[in-house]
Amino acid sequence: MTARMSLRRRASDHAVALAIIAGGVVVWEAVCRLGLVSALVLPAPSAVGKEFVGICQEILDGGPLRNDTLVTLYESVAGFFLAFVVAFIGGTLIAEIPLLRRVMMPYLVAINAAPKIALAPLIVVWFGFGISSKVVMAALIAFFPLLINVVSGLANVDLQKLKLMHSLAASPWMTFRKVKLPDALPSVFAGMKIAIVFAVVGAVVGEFVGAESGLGLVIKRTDYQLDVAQTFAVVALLSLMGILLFYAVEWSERRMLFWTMPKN
Amino acid sequence: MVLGNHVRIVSRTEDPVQIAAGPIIEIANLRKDYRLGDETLVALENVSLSVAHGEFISLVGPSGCGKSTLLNIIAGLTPKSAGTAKLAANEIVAPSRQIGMMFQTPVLLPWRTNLENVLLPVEVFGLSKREFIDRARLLLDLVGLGPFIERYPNELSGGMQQRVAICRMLLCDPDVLLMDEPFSALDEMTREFLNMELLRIWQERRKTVIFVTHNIGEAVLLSDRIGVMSARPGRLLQVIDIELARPRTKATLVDPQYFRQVTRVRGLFG
Repeated sequence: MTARMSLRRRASDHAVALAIIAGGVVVWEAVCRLGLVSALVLPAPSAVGKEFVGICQEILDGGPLRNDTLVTLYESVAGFFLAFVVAFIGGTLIAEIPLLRRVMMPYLVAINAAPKIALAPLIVVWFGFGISSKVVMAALIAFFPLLINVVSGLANVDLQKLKLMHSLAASPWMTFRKVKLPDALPSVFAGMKIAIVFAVVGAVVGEFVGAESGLGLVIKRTDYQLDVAQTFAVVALLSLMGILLFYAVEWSERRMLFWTMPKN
Repeated sequence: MVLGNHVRIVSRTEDPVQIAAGPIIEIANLRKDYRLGDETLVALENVSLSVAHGEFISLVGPSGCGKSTLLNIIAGLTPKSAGTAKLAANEIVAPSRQIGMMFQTPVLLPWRTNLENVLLPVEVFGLSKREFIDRARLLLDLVGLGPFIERYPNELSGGMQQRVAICRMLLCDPDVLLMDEPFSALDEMTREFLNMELLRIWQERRKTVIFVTHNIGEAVLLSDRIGVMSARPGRLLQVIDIELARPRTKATLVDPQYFRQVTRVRGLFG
């Protein structure tokens, strides 16, 4: 009963959202057609759509854009995994060793507050114009949400479960493996969903600074050529990439955290 | 009910009641202080209690009387401030495998099936899962959870979850069961059902049980003796024998003797 009602409600919510977006697009198109804004500044949605279809066609046909897309995708995913490994190990050590937590936390908060994007030129100098500097850049931006969620997940484990393990005289390693780690996973996944999207941002920022290929480089080039419609289309492509990566993480979350999902 | 006299779960010791001489738990002049800033809060003061093998004893008292603290000290979870607390003649300093524990909530791990939850102590103790898996299945079967063995805890009601916790507590055959208000979060019908289950299990195995509750009726129904506690500071006022024939069943709940005992205990609280 309530499930059906909420389903109907969700459907109507979607309809409202779509109507708002469609209204915005119509206004945007009208503004462009009426010549209120120059096409060099803001291309019409129809022009962007045409470019987007063209881009997708080129990727499917194996044109140069396919390589750029795959490079950015690789940099984002590799950076995400690099960040995950480091954040998982580091976060575990920080959460499990009280001394380390006391000593390191203030510095980590400070480093987190620093604008990491500002480091991009330095990273490119250190790691070169190739793919590795973008992987590092993606990892750098994805790292902190992961670290913070690993630490808070492990620090907020259900005390009753810890008491149970204590009453069984469980070793710290046993308690970590059997209770803390699985209990922290929902928080870790929340961090992963933020981090995967951040990783794409990191890769693109790295490519802006200096790259041999990648969608960030394509944006720079089309911008230079004042091909604003294509810039928009590439941005749309990057968004699509981010959305797909996000849902990939969410898909694995649903599979792994089956006990947190509502039944049916 | 389900468990006939001819069905016996294999016990590691043949008959713990006969092997043991002297009390299994001995507490003398026990004291527990908590420091709250500059103030010292006395949670337990001058508590002495001795529990015999196979005895069922309940601790009853108002909230804040330290009954859970006492249980946690016996469990080796909380260090004492002064006095002695011994399990099988050894000073309690850490949790022991001889003790099985149950809490107010079932504390099941939601990512494990009910069977895997029951098997948790085996994994923690580093014992062979294969040796215990049949016993775990049998225990779940005996408390009526046979069809739910491979299901997950969130598919069960609160009472059923608490039954899984009972099985987990019993799996490795501990000598002493410490139960901290295990049925207080359940509705009255479920509580009564689980009281009967507990009586049946105790009748069968004669474990030593220390049962914390604030329900006097429940304490009288289950116990050989009841320890009456008072709050601030937590003291054991007296320990009284419950004169009520065993085995106790549903019929006991309408026995005039049961009401007399309940009234007697109630009278001690004034």
